[in-house]
Amino acid sequence: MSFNREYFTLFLFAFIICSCDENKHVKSYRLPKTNFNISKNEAPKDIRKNVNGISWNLPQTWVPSDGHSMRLASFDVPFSKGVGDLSIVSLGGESGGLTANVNRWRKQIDLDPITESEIKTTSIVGQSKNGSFRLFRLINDSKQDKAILAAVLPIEGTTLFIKLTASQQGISELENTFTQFCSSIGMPQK
Amino acid sequence: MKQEIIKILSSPKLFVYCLVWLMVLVVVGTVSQRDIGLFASQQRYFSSYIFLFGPIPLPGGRIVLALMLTNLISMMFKQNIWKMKKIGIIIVHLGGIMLLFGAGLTAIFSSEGSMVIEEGSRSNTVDDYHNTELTIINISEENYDIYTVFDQALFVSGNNLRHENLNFDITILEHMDNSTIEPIAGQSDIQYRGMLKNFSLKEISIDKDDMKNRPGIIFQVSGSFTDSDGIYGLIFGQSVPATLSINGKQYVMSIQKKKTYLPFAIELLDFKKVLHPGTQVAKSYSSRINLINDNIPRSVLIEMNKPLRHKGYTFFQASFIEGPDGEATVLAAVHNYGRLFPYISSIIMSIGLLLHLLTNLPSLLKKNRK
Repeated sequence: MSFNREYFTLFLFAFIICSCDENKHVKSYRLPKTNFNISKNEAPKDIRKNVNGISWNLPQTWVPSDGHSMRLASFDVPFSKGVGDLSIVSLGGESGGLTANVNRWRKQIDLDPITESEIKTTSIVGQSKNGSFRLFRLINDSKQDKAILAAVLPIEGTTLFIKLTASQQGISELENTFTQFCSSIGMPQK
Repeated sequence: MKQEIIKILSSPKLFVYCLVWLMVLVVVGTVSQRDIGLFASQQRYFSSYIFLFGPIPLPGGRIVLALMLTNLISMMFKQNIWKMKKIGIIIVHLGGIMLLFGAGLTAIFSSEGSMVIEEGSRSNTVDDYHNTELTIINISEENYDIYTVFDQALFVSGNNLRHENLNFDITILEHMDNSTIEPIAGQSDIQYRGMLKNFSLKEISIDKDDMKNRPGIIFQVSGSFTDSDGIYGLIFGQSVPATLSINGKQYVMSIQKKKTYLPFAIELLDFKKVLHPGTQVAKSYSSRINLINDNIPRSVLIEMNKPLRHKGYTFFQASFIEGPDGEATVLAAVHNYGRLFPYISSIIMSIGLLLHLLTNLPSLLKKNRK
């Protein structure tokens, strides 16, 4: 019986602790209709913008802002503690290449440059309506007030650079919305 | 190091230290009730794994009880305990294991809540006394509503809540155990929706009486790409429900006490109260109810010291509400899977102690004669 009593004890303790429920449940069920006294409004429609033949679904909270001539579009992107700046730039061909552009963004938040292979391993690949795009989450731990979410999307012989600059908290809050925005970008098929 | 830890876990001394620590917890928990209230004290010292005493982390009730249970079970695997003359000790250990196992069942699965039923109406839901939940109801279907419910434990800042029923994402930005709403001066920020357009949700200090606390959450709705994307706030007991309209589907959102749906219903036929003569103080009150199981009603009288027990639930007559439209009864509903464990384990431990005494009696008498 003394075989592995000690190990059994450790296993038992771990089992008891892990058995404890933390009440983190998500439930779903159907019930007969209740009258909530709410008037049924017509649902708002998707907000689709079209610039130079390129279209996207714009979240309603994003407000068009004054950019500059290089930008295809600019938006103020609100989050819980502030407003981020989103820019969309369209350039012909590869326009300097992926490495040069990503390292330029990294430099803007005081991060050291990295190699092309590192860039590819640290990025996430998403899917837009006109093909895949690369998503970059650039965060410098010593720079809380500025971080960058960027996507590079080749589209019909041009490259779209979509960049969101906000605080680190803003980037965390907006990452999902930003990814969905990039996924919605497309150009009508010829 | 690992061997050392394992040895400590299975050492009988650990059980004694745990008992002493439990006594300390009982004293500290009882004293702190005065300052932080019964529920908060219970949560902090007895329902926690670890609590902070200033900057020092200390073991809470749950981890101590888990240690004791592990220790007792481990003792049963000792070679030298399985002897006839130690039968009493074995039985006492088994009783202890059963008691702690029952305590675990109660801690994990038991629920306590209230059921308010007006005269002439019926109910099959119990509202938890303390825990709340975020309920999102899709009211677009013609014949039924679809409820998606997230437990309070998920209200952690930065936590993403998703469900296949919902065509949008929710990110919790802030959770408040007790909150209040204040009107804002001027125009709110553009990202705010619903109540937060005109009010702000402010955290306030927790009330000692947990029933008076109004939990609140601020969360972000994203991914719908409609007007409805934005930041929302909800507070418990909100009079106007928050709504969302996304892609033709309409949702109602609220924070409510965690609801348990019973597999039967209770209909209040008549509520009676008896006052002390010449006063307005209630002497006793009772509820004549119909217990409806599979559409078959059974008449039952619930009185102050005569609860109704049915399908693992116990319904006590707790209180009543008198309104202009009539009376309503308030029943306390308790569901406790470990209810019988203390009784059974106490009997087992008593038998064990008695057997231990009897098996050792001859040797004790011998010693006395000498």
